[in-house]
Amino acid sequence: MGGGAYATKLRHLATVLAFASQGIHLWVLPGQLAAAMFPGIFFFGVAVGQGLLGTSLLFGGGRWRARLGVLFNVFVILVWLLTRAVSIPQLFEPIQLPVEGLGAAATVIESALVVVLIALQRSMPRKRKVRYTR
Amino acid sequence: MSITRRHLLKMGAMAGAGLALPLGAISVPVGRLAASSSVRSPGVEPFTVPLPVPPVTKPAHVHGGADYYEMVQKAARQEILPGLKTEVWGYDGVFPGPTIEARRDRPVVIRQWNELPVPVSVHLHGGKTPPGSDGYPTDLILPRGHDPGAHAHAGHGSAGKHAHMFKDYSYPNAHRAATLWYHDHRMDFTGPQVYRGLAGMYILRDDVEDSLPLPKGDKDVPIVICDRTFRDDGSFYYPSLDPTLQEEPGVLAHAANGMFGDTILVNGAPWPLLEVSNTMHRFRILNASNARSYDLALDPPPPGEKAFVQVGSDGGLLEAPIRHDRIAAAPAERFDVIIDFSRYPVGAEVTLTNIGGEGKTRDVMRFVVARGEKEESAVPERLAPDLDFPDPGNVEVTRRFQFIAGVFGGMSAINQKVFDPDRIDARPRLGSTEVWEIFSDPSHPFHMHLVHFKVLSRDGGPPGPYDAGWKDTVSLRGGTVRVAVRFEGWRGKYVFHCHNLEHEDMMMMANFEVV
Ligand SMILES: [Cu+2]
Repeated sequence: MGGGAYATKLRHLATVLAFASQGIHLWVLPGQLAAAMFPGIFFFGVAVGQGLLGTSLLFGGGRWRARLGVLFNVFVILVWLLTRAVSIPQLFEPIQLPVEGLGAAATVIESALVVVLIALQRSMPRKRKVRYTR
Repeated sequence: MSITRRHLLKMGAMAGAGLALPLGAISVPVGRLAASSSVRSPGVEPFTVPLPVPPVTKPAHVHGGADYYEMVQKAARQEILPGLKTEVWGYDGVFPGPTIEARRDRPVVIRQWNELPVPVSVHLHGGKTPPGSDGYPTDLILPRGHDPGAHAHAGHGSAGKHAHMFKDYSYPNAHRAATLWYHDHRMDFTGPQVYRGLAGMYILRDDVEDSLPLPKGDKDVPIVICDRTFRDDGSFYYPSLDPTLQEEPGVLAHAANGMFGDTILVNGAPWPLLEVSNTMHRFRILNASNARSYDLALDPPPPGEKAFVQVGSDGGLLEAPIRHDRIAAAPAERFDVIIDFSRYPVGAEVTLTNIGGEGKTRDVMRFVVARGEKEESAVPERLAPDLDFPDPGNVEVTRRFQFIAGVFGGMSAINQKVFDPDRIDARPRLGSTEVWEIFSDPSHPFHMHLVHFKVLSRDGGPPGPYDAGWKDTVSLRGGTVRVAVRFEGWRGKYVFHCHNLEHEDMMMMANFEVV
């Protein structure tokens, strides 16, 4: 279990952010999946990942949980950036009216989540004193 | 104990938030997709309904050597499947719309009234039409009470020139005789609006054609082939994301590569029957389907001879007839063919089949050779004067366009760009000849407004058997097609696009501006 009141605060903040990102993806998921499968399946994956991350953070949070959370959210942010930088309309752009505002909001939330998770990771004492060489 | 309970609580919460919520969120669209792709039309006994022929409409008045028509686009209930009523959106409330008979160099002006609940735009397919009358996708006729601002289509560029309740379309008809058709072209919603019935024939005639001994009168028959799926109550089924066609464009992902109906209609009747005499008949075949291509043949084939004699293509009569066993017609293509029923005994039943179809869509319609009659028609070996094709030696510019369709609902694009009314992708000079090289992933019918073109080559070889004559639509069949185009008539902005209407609505369209 994470150490100290500061870490607990960070953990709760991360939980809120993960659920907020999940909420946005759950909100757009039904419409996106009906119109275009690739974005729909991706949003489903994000909703699952953020739901699992948020819940597990609610109940505690080891360093590896935070690390996985960082990796997952960095991946989600990179996919968002990539689909904005490289236009592959056949895969990533359904004809539906754009949800750009929500996409940007989710990305801001995910970026904040990455920062909080890194802070959380640093605030926590290592579980094992034994150091593994990398 | 408390640790176990906490553990259980955690697992339960993770399962709930991490799995149950997302699964709940996808259950609605997954259910919708499954339900949509399993809609089947009520059964119809094929070859029992007589082939209807769309009514030929008369001008409201004639003035100064031009014909003035009035047409009202409205909803009406029509018996398509025996015993059931279907709400159609039709020109004058009929599906297919009334046929317009026009003469070369005699202008036609059609006042189109919009009494439908949605905006419309009317395009004369194959017509050499000034830009203001060409039915540009955002040049809408708004229905009564519609707020123009509501149709700017956020994200799809500027609004076009809107008319309110009606608009006059002018067609100069300065063109050789040809089988044209008119249909809806509203931005983002062409597929569902044509599907509901907004399509009709426009037959342009001239003295050259009149002088030929081809079958005439009731032996010159329009054949408008399309596929539809019906619900049990007889209504059309189309998988729109927004069935009101007011806000959200597009179709459910399973239909993104085209809406394929399970019921074949000819002139608005399912698998109809036509009684003919044992003489030649001329059939102006139009594939008015949203997405389905047909590979037409006669069953049984006439003994020892080719089934069809093609006399015309999209742009009118060929120089000389071409004999075919089969006719492959992609959406929007026209094939003007003669079938000689004297090769069958009186009493014979001859089915027009679709070799490429499966199940019920393998049949199209049936002819019954009902009586003997003296032959009064002939197919001369010379049909039209020299067709004056563009000279490939005179080409100013060669352009290349790549058509790639969306995957599982993604948008379809030309040169990796989706349609933007404000972006011009080609600026040909008025009077110039260009070569356009179109290459594609499988199966796109490529269509250009304003111009006709000559197919120069297909996949590096000679043009295919169905590429003869002047064309305005050519099936790419997954390969590369080179066409020579002469830009004549008017300066202005026109579209070229895929005539798979679901692809078109999914943005597989671009602009050229004749300068
Ligand atoms: Cu296409």
